[in-house]
Amino acid sequence: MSRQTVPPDDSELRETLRAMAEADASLTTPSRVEASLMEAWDARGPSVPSRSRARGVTWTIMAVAASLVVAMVLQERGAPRASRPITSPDEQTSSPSVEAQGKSPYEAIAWLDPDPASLQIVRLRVASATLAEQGYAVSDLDGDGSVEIEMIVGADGAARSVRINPVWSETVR
Amino acid sequence: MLIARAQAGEREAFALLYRRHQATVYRFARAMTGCDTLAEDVVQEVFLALMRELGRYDASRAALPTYLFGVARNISRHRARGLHRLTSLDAADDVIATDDPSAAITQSDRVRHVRAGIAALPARYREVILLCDVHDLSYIDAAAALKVPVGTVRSRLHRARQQLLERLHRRETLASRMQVPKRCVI
Repeated sequence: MSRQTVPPDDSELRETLRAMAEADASLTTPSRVEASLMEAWDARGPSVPSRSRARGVTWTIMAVAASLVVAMVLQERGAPRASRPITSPDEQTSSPSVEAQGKSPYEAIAWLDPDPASLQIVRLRVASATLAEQGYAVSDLDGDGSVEIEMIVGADGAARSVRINPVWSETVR
Repeated sequence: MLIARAQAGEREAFALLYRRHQATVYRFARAMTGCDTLAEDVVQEVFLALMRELGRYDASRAALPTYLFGVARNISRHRARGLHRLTSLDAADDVIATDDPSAAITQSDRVRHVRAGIAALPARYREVILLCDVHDLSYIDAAAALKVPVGTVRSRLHRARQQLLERLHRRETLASRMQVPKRCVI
């Protein structure tokens, strides 16, 4: 027996698409997907910093940095010139032990790079197993056992931060 | 709110979020990739991404389903590229609830053809027809999920429907030409 179907028009097409949606309504993922996800949740630790909390931390760091700068400026203005030793820039940004020796009133702020323009973004692929060892539950999108990451590297070659290449980046293309 | 609870680290809240949205994401990913196994992988990737980005997710910028569709679309396209081909969904069982068996058969055939037609569309048309016509997203939400202007969604949707109809017409014409005339022996 052969069934002859008439080509649909636009309204019939939409009706068919709705029927397709209804036919698919019962489709669902197997329970193993949820199980593996929850395993990943458990592996990542108990809590996630929320956006507002992260913003709070940022503001706190900025406030502390600003207070340090103000304190340094006030100290510089208040101190008699004769008692202020002249130091080289290298000495001024060295460790706090230098201050203890009386060489400089300045304190190095370790987390600020002297020249942000010197920072570079390096993209590379690493084994997802290596990231897993560091506590990052990442499954590789390509299925080749590696994931794309981005690192911010200072002029001294030391990595300042690292992040997994976000999937949202594709939408920019 | 579930998102806030999950952001605070509540395991059960994240599990509830998953149970609430997984089926929608799965159906979308299945239609995008044309493969059950790939769709399962996509669902897992989408919720892993949500897990990673929970702290940065801002509900005021996009509703969660929109956000999930956006991520699912990216991962599906990525995975489909890796596969280099789409698997036919012709074998999928279509269950149509209706009282008229002949109408059900015709409808079921048509659903099968439409499904195959969607799978054959270019990804940019496939995703927009799935979001707007199958998952009933508004143009604004679809635009947010696809990261394109609303006008682009409208034009792509128009073009997608046009292409799909053309394909269906071609298929029907070809099918009618291929039919062998029946012989009656008395």
